[in-house]
Amino acid sequence: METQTIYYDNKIVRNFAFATALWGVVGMLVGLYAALQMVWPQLSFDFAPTTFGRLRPLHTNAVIFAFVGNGIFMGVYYSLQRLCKARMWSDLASKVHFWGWQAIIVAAAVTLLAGFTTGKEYAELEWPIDIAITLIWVVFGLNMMMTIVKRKEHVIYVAIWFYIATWITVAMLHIVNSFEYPIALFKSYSYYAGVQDALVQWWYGHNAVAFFLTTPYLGLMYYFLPKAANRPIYSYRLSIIHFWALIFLYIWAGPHHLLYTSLPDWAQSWVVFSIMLIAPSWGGMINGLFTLRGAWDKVKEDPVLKFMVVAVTAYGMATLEGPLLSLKNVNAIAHFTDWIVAHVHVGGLGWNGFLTFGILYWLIPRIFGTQMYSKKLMNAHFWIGTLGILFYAIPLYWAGFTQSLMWKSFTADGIIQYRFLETVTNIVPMYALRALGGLMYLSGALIMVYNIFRTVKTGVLVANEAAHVPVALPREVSGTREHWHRWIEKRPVQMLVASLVIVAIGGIIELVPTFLIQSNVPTIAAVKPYSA
Amino acid sequence: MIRPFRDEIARYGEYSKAGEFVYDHPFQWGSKRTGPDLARIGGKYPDSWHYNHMLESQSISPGSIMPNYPWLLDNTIDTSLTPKMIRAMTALGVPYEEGYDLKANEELMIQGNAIVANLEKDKLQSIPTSEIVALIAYLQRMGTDIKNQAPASLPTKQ
Repeated sequence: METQTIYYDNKIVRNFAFATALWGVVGMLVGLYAALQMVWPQLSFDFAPTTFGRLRPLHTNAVIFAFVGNGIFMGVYYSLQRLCKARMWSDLASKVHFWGWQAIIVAAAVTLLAGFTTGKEYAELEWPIDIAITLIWVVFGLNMMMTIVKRKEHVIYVAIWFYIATWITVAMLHIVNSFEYPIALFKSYSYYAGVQDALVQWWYGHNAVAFFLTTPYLGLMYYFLPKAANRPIYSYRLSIIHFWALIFLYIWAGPHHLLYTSLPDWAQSWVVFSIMLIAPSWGGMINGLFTLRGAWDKVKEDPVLKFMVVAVTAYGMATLEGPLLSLKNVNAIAHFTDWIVAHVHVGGLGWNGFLTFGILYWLIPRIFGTQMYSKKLMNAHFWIGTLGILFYAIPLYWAGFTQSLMWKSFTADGIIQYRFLETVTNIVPMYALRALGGLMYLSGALIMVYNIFRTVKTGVLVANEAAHVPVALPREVSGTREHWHRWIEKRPVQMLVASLVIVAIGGIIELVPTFLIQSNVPTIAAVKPYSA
Repeated sequence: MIRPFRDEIARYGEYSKAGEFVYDHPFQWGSKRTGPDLARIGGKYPDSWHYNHMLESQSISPGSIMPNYPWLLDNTIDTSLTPKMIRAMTALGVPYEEGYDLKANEELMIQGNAIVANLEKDKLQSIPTSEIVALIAYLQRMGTDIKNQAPASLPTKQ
């Protein structure tokens, strides 16, 4: 087979890696500041931009779209080139993607602190930024798909299926949920109203969790975990079932945020899909953890694998808890409380955070042609981070459960037992412990930044890494029996279309009837538009 | 968003109905009760209570973890945008009568002046276009549309 030498672009990977670390620290710092205000509200200093209401969306946007977002791109740009045996399609597109995304983050931070918001959770950014996100997302998708098209490998690996499904689904969610009517540069109104707006918003909102925090990170797990463990993935068949089942079921998951609300009961019934999600979610966890079979001795020695094991375990815990929280009787207790905040942080700190740290520790020394500066500091980070997660989550579970029970308490005379304020002051000590957990977790991240800084100083960036790849796609041996699924694994465009069809089914069946059937939202004559 | 539970109806009032939000672009049900639910806050407290509560919640509720919002007293709303806002709402299907976009500011001032007069009775100074007056107007409207129609609910307690 004739080969040629090509060069993988490591500079773009480094840029995204540094951005990941930087925004991670910023996002966590804002989170810690907001957490401290729940104990000492005077820390807002009576200044609008530093009140909890503005810090909270800044924190969520920073950790989801800046920290995890850059983490996705770092991992995709590293793994995609190697899996496709090709350099990224366009260096210019890579650059536009990187700087465009950072500009969006800065614009988001400034406008959120200035008080501009659409009022929709996890989609707070105003319409000009929404448009910029769409454009940059298209640049990313084009760069990715074209790289896949020019690959020198017949089959696209499971990690790439997840990248493709992520890209198309996030595009769909973002566009549909961002329909808004602008009246000024930073002021717009949601196209949808009331019940429909709620349904669209949480269809988007939960799938931000599904297709921004989960599917791309599962793709990263499928590449980096076997790499770090030097073991093939546990089960190819499991990855097929788990991939298609996960994306099909996940898209329905919005209504579990709206149980017992004014959303029509039939639409609340879609939570059956949230409950079924346990199966494909654990399929992913099992495929990850079982990849380490026979390699557990390595886990003891290698901090990278330690981070990954905790990440996958946290994924398993959060995805067990998610279906449980979707049961109406559990939801009745947990909804509106800090239980939910604890739940998302097991996923965020454990799954996303720890997988990101593991990948950074694995990838930075490789692209700088060196070793991590200190294994001791890696271990210190691992332990303070793990304890930080526990100190964060356990007090908040306690706080959520306690407050909910207090809300629901009646005296023997049938009168509400506690004033709302009493239910708050009662859990403030738990908020203090949570802030301590956040401080520990942030300290771990700062240790990592120092460790990476020292590592980078000892090495030199291999900006263009040489690789020997076939000149043309090798001819396939005919007549061999293959798994039927291989057909689509050789056809990235069909994979993209199939993913879109699979996620569109749930989206259409769930959303459209609420818009078309008038009786779904009975109007009330007394309800009038806002006026004097 | 008040769920149809005994404790929530007792604490906040009648549970929320889908028809109450048909003009809300966007919906504002919330997803976390760091403070009490505001879905039926309208008419529950006098204007001066809200004024003092936004200025310094701890003066009314010792131990509250709500921040202070003193700038609401100084900042004013941009009334030049009001007609545009009404037209946007009309375009999105909110049934304002024709020409209301041009009348809206007039009504806004009447409503603002009434709140200013109310606050003055409690020796609180404000102007009708201040953010605090606009916020009080909004809060006092929250969940009141069906208040008089709703069946008698259980005794409430904040």
